[in-house]
Amino acid sequence: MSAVQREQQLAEAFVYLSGTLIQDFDLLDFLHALTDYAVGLLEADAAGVVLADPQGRMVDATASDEATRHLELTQADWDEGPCRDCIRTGAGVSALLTEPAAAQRWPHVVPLARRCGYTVVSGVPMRLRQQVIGALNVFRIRPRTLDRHEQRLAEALANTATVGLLQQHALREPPVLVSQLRTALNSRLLIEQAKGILSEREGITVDQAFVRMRRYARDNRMSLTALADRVIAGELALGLFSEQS
Amino acid sequence: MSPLTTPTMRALVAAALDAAQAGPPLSIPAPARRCADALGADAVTISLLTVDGNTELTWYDTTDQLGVPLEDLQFTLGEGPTRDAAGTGLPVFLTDLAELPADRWPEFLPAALDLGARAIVAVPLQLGRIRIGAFTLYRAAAGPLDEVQLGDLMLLVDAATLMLIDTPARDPWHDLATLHRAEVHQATGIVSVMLDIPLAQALLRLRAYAYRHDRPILDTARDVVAHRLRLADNHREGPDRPAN
Repeated sequence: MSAVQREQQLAEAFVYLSGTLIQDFDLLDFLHALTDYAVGLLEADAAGVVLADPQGRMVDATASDEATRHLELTQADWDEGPCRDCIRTGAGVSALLTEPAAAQRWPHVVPLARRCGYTVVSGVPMRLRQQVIGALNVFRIRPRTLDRHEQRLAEALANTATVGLLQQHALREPPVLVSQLRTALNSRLLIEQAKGILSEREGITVDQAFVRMRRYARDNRMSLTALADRVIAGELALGLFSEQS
Repeated sequence: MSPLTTPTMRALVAAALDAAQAGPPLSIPAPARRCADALGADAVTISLLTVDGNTELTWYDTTDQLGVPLEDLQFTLGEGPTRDAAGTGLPVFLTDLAELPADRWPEFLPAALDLGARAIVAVPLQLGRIRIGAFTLYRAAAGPLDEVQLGDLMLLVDAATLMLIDTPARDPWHDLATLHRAEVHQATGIVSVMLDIPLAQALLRLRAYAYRHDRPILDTARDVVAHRLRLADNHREGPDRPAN
């Protein structure tokens, strides 16, 4: 992969995982994308994700391939493994599966991982502040653990995906604030347009037009936006904005 | 927070998020100049989508000689990366404008190169399917962003989205000063009365005038507002002319 291709893939991964691109959010698609990006960007042979409920129990798993998904489910069944440890401690893990310490730590998961051909596993938590919502595992066949840079990239992918997931969750609430935002911007454009209309109709400057609009709105207990709307619609008689009114 | 971000950007964003709680709507209390510096960019801007599908520049550095004129140009021409990102919801990464096919944005590209831009990144601001606008980064040097700049960019984009949707709604006149193209909309109102045409057409006339005379849209609008320029009625009068 060339440097430019890599930057492009990184850019794609971050933008996708931050949730900004997703039109119809599907949790499985999203987690699959995360494992695919992890495999591609971290020179891994497989990747898996486990999600946890607020009590830290592993509730859902997916992976870049079926054998690895089985491996993730085994972690949930036996309540052991690198994902489990990430979720429990909130810290990353990295281990050579060929070392006896690994088999002692995860007696059910390591033999299965070895049968898949993996010699290296790394795990990073999916965490936003204190909340751990899951973990990302990457597996390698070649016995090379993730270097510091790769470990940081894995963390970045997991963190970005966490924000993306939580953003999707937040979206289930009605987005009242977004329509308020749109309205606020639109109101400002309407007011500017009304200033121009009034200035041309009355032969006054736009600043004078604004002073008159504010006074009229205040005197008539009308919002400036509602007034602007009526000025644009031509619903207010000319004389209303004279100096005396 | 992503570890691929810099302490500078994290501090900028944290301070801005605090300030946004007390600020007016539509505001991002982070100085665009410092954000551009932190991103290794020459300019950064935020334009919001209006109900009629245009983009309105709402966050920028007042001394910016690259991003602001290019945002205005996209507004005038109706084409460019900011408009594409905001309108389609897809990010636009341009690592070298000089290498792009000329027909991508036939008017915008040569003008952008002329003004000294070589790389542009436009990221949509949106929540799910709801499009809000775009964050655009301009650079005089060609080349992609590195991982840390990308992390910083996404952090800033996420935070900006949050600040935009999460500030208390108030009466809009508290915040009129930050509307970069205020005079364009005033001039739109003036032209609509002058020529007795709807506002949308009046805006098109202004944009067409600026384009035809190769002048910034804001200068054109200021001339109209100051009665230095009157646009001609297509049916009854001759060409547009300066006012006597």
